[in-house]
Amino acid sequence: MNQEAVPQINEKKKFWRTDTKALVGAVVMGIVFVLVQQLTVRIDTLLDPSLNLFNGITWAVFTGLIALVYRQPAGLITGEIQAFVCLISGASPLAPFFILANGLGSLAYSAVAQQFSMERWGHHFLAMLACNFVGNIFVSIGLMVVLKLTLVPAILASLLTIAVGTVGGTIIVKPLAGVVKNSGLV
Amino acid sequence: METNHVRFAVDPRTATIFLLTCIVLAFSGKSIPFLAIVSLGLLFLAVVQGQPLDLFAKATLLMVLVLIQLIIIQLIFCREGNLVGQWGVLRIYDQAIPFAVIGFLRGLIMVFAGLHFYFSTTPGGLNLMLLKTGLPYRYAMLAGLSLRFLPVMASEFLSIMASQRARGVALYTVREKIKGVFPIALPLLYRSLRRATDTALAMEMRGFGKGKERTFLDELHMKGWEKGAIALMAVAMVAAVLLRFLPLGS
Repeated sequence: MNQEAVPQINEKKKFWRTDTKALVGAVVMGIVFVLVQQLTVRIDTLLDPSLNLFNGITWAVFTGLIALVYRQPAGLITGEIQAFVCLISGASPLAPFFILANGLGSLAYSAVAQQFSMERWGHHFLAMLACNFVGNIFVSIGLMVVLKLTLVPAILASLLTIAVGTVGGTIIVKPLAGVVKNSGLV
Repeated sequence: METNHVRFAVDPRTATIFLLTCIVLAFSGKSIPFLAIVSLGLLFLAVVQGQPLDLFAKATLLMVLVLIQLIIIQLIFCREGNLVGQWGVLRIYDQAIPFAVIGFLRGLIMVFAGLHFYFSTTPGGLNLMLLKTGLPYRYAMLAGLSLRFLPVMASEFLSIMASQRARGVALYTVREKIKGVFPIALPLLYRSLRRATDTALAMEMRGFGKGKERTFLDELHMKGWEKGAIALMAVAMVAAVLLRFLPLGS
């Protein structure tokens, strides 16, 4: 393995990471992302498909974790792989909108994470807020176009998903990133 | 998802354009009969091509659940059409149910089209198609890799679920499913990180990324009927977009 290209999680100001481990890791994590979403999609479908609460938290966790651990373009690749697998496996009718939501959400997370040390809860919260806000803009468009929701319920559903995804994502990603780093597998 | 998933192999370019056509038709279709015909057409194609209908049935069932909830949401929020009833603050408009059905059919078309793509495209074919677009092979192979890893990771996911069930993790009610997300997701995450590390090492040992150019055993070959089908699909997409955005038909 090209050890020079493998950064530590707390190494700052490094936006890109293009070693094989990051690229392959991005693909594998994209699939794991879809598989975990199979659990959360079912929970959301039973509760309310337009809210995407548990799906939103899972999305936020994976988007943030991959952007922190494997950086870019791995975050982008994971997001696009998730959207692609979601589309071809028929996992979600909103899958075409995940292409933009995942890609731009991940870039937003990385852009904010780039500005901070990511050692404080506040740093994670801000990165997660940017990621959720950008991503859910496209999901709300999907809710209106595909599921024919009107503007008010689509915006309400997205705002709720942003709130839950930001808080849930922050609470889970910070300790999880530390655990993944300590596992020595990244 | 099976390891050998391809039921009706076509050139990946044909499969991609078919997927795009279905998405365009779903987005541009405004009437229930049109969207229903497209959905039924996709189902008929699945029967003819011998694709596993149980997956189509499961997807339809999931979408029926979505339909029920869409009806509830539209009954509460829809303000299109004529007012047909009012109970307190709840006002029911006559377009609520048609909107919910259109949403359901659009979702169903996306889901069916996605399954068609999966059952007609090989990972190698997908790699070659992306290479044709000029993408460097280090990145072009990632989409194909995802098709290869999908059944592998799905099987790991099922084995972890089975292991956790054997340890007493129940996954039947909504509450149990919510509680069961962590005991399943965390081992899967750890296993996938380990697998990614092993795979990356194995790929580098075989010279992945060593040279800028690489050769392939297979080549893409588009059959004559596929070229005709692509032309027809292109016409269908243009017609659908024109009918949607120009005041040609109402």
